[in-house]
Amino acid sequence: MKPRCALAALITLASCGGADPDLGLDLWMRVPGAQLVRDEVPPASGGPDVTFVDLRTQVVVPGQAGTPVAGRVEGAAMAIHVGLAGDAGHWIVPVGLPDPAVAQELDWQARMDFARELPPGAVTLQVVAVDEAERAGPVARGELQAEDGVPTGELVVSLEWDTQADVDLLVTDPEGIQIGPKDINSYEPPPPGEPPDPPDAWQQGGILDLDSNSGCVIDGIRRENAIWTQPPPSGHYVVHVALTRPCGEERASFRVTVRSVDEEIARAEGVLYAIDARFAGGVRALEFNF
Amino acid sequence: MFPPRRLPLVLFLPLLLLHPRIGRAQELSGLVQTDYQRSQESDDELNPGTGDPENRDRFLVRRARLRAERTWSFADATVEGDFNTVAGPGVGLRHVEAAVRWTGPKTSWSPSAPPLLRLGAGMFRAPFSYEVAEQRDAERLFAERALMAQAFFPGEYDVGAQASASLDWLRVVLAIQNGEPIASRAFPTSDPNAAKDILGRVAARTRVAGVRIEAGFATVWGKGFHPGTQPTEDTFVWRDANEDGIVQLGEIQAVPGASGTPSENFDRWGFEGDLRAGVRIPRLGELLIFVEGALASNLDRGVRPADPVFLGRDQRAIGAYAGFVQEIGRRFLVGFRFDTYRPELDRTELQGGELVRSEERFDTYTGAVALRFGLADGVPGRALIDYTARRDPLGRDAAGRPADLRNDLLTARLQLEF
Repeated sequence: MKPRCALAALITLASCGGADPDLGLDLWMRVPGAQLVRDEVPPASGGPDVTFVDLRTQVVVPGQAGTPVAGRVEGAAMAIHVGLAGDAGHWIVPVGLPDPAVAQELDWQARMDFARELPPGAVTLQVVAVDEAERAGPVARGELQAEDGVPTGELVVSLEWDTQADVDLLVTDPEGIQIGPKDINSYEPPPPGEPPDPPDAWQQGGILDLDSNSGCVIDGIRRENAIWTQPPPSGHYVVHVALTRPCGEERASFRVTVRSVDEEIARAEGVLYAIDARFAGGVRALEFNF
Repeated sequence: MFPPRRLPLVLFLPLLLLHPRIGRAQELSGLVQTDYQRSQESDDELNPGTGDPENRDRFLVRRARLRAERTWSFADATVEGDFNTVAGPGVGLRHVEAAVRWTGPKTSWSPSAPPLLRLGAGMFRAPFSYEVAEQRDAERLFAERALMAQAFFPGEYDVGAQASASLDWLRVVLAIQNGEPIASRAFPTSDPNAAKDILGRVAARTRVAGVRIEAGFATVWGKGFHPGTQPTEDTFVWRDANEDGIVQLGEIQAVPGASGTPSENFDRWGFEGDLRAGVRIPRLGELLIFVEGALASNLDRGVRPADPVFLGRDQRAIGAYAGFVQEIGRRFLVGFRFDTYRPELDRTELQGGELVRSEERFDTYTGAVALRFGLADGVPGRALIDYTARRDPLGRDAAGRPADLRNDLLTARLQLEF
């Protein structure tokens, strides 16, 4: 530590070398347990190559947690630096054991959490291997597509919330059928004795795409959509939002939006408190005519 | 640590000792230490794992102690409660002990004079290491103890019985304790196994050519506890291997039930030696120089809790500290302490695909300046500035190797005794 830097550190606790203790929760991509560096991945300086990047999926949803990524590096590598292009930082992950199938190469793996603020569209995962002398190799890239999480349809009712509680979207259509975790499709087959509907008739109903954080099994997505891909029944719709389980949270702020094709036609916001979990039917968030 | 609802009980016990019919030579004393801390680690976030605040820039009541003592010619009793806001409102017991004592063939008796022989039982400081066994929190210049003391005896106090013998120049303590200090990460103040820890400490003091010399040696022998596991039933898990959100047959894995595993005890031991020398410097005041070192096996219960059954080998640790405290006139104290602790001498880590020996070393450099003042007779106060520079392996360098994490700590403390 240089004397001037030490003096500054003594007075202000300013950074003076050493690894960053920041958790990096503001980054688009986080790697739990890895070391954060608030900078771009290092430029190539004669270090080892990343020989393989294994993305298990090319599509990620903002808020998605625990997405695995793995690969191989040349044997001289000590660590990989992994991050998204344009992000506010990247992460250092030590490499693992020698690959059992490819000689002179080492395996690496990490799990990625994606922030809800991750902008939709194409994003590039950058991976750089670094050797013992901290020389970086060329950047290996993997392409990801970040979905905006909002599906399209004739009618889409979306619910988002901000804490890791189990919150449910309940939509009652003009025929009095309620779409929710207990009935994820409003389509009702014809009664016995009537001619059967075509095999794809189930798509006529409104469909709930996901029961996020169900039973406090936290998936981090915190978004549910009721989607009509075919023209929905006309009439009056009622939207309830239920805090089914607080999962240790004190409250959850939510937002409900209603879209037809790409046009927003209604919106409501509100707050649910832990005590609201007593009311299974939820709170009435929104009503609209379609 | 006790929940706040037990606060009345903790307050009541010390006051009970002050009842006029119970004894004589009574004393009610206390200590308040209020800190403002500023840390390089601080962040206005919640820890994603624990949900605890990551902000470390804060005011806190570090220690508030209320102590009642009563001493008779043949016995003594002490009850001490602790209050703090280190991790939310905290209330707990510290020194709780009843003892019989023999002051020896003296003509006059004084409650402050150490008894020749003393047999006590309760919760008391482990007689291992000068900082743990003898040094009072109000007396120490530095804000906290050396890391080695926090690792081997977190919280300092444990439940048991002790026998001590004191002469003017020599003090010998032999103790038997549960082996789970009050801030132990595993079973604080309880005891998961029948084996007890045996501790012994010998401390001597003398004066040579105007230099006050104190030295101590201590050892501990005992058995730690490795918890077994409960039996599990058959289950299955779904791992979304291709991340498509759809359950497919190949992604479902059966997890067969497993039988429980028995708990096991393991041996642990430690040795410690300490030395202090004090000399009066003209026009300045007393200069105190101190050094202490310890070697232990499977004794860490606070920093890297030892579990040799899990590791498959003993967890050998070594720690030491050295420094000085200089009086500057009657009002000021200045001091420096270097403290090093290596919790796992045989630690290995995967680096570059190879398992290499990876020493984990925690070095701490602490500088402190204090102003002493007195508000009234018997109410000494102290204002302290303490800067702790930590050099540890908790971060990662660019090559992924353990590297120092920026986590220095500045503490401003106001302390009052009464």
